Amino acid sequence: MSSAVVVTGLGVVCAAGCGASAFADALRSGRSRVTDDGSGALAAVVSGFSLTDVLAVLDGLPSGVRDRAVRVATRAPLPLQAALTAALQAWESAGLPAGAPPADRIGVVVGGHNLGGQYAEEMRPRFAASPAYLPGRYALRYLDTDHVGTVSEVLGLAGEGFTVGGASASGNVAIISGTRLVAAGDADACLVIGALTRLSAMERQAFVNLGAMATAAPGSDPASRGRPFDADHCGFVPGEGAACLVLESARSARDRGADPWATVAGHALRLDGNSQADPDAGGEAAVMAEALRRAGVPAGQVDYVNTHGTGSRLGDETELAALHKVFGDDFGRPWLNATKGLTGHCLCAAGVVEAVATLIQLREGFVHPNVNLDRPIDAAARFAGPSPEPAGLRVALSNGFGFGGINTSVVFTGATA
Amino acid sequence: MTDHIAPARDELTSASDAPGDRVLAAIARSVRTVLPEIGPDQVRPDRSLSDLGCNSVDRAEVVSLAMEDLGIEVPVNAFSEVTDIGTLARLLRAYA
Repeated sequence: MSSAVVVTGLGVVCAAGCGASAFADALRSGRSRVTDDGSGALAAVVSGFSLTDVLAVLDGLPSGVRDRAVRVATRAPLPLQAALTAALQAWESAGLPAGAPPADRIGVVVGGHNLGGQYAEEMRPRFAASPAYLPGRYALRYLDTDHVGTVSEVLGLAGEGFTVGGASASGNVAIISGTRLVAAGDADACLVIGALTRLSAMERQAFVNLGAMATAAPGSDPASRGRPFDADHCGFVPGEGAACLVLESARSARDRGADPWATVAGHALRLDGNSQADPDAGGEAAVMAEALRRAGVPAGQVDYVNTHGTGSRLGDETELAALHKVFGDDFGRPWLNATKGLTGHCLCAAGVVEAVATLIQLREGFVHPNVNLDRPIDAAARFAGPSPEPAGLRVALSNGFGFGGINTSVVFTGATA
Repeated sequence: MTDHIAPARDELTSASDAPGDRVLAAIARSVRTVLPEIGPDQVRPDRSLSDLGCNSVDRAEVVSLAMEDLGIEVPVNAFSEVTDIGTLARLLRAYA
């Protein structure tokens, strides 16, 4: 990479917690947040969220920023409020309120697409009553880029801004895009946001009918249904979540005395040439190997892999096959866990939510438990157990694989690396 | 969209905008939904939505909320005549 890119701030809003500190506690707890909505639909949902409450806690932000957040987002749908909250948490944690690069040197990259399906369902009854009752604001809200505009308005950002998509790899695609922006010198800093994906009833049912999504089973605890890498895995459980990283050039971070969480040391994105929901171990191995090559780190030095691990039978088996290809004789060396067991599958946001999980574990020196991993499908893998384990982590891989053969992997190295 | 014929200009200026009027009340509710910081007595016929801090998207939303509240439909083109809350109220009243 032409210029080192570091992570100087982070934020997260998901079923497991709001803010880095609550999320770190949740990672240690090893508790699934999956519930049944009463109709048999399982999900890990963000409950009790209030924009007013979160803004009150973010007292390191200038009052002007908080006032604009209220003005712009009080009536916004949850995905937009969650993304904005994660962005404001990240902005504050990066120390940017005390002095940021010029507004036109800070970018906003939002990972996520087709984010408005549920909102469209909520608007449909008004439209059906009379087309005249559909708020004109829907013309803005249905656009995924509303996330970009909203965050840029609240924080007064004027650098490059756009959305990127890659199905369940969208979050990593955003991290890769933001890293390139900063590495190329086109921005000094970039907010990378994984957008909360709230599935509409129809979208959800399509995943069920495809056989990809876990559903409630009679007599089963909903929290037992998301089981990444367990012999009884039965599909993914969706999770609501948004997250944000502040990526920054090492020089900018140094100039303002910021304390980086980690370096984005390498990344890779490759297609399988396949439009299907059919993961390929060769493509997944290729991105892990390429990301490590760019980071200049041999596979044998990787301490930890935040797996894509959704709990899908085919997905889990394919990822393990890819890990065998990449690590060979060192397959049993890196710790493996699946954050989706705790948060549900945050879909478009997953890559950023899991980057936050990875960075917290790097900094705090532990690996979070694997949830419901009673009978691991690979005895040779070093899966984290049911309790958090202390672990001195220096090099981490974070995987994200999307339908349509979109493979991504990102390497983070701890600040002390 | 609607079978209504646009009302003549004199109809727009002759209707009542007395306090307590239900059309004005619907506009006030809509404004305060979009801009909660606006006090109820700030929504007066002589003020414009822009004066109250509404941008173009806010104004469009106030209008659709007020129509929904009143159960009426006014063709979008008719709003080009609206200059302030008084003329908006008279337009909505003509369709109520």
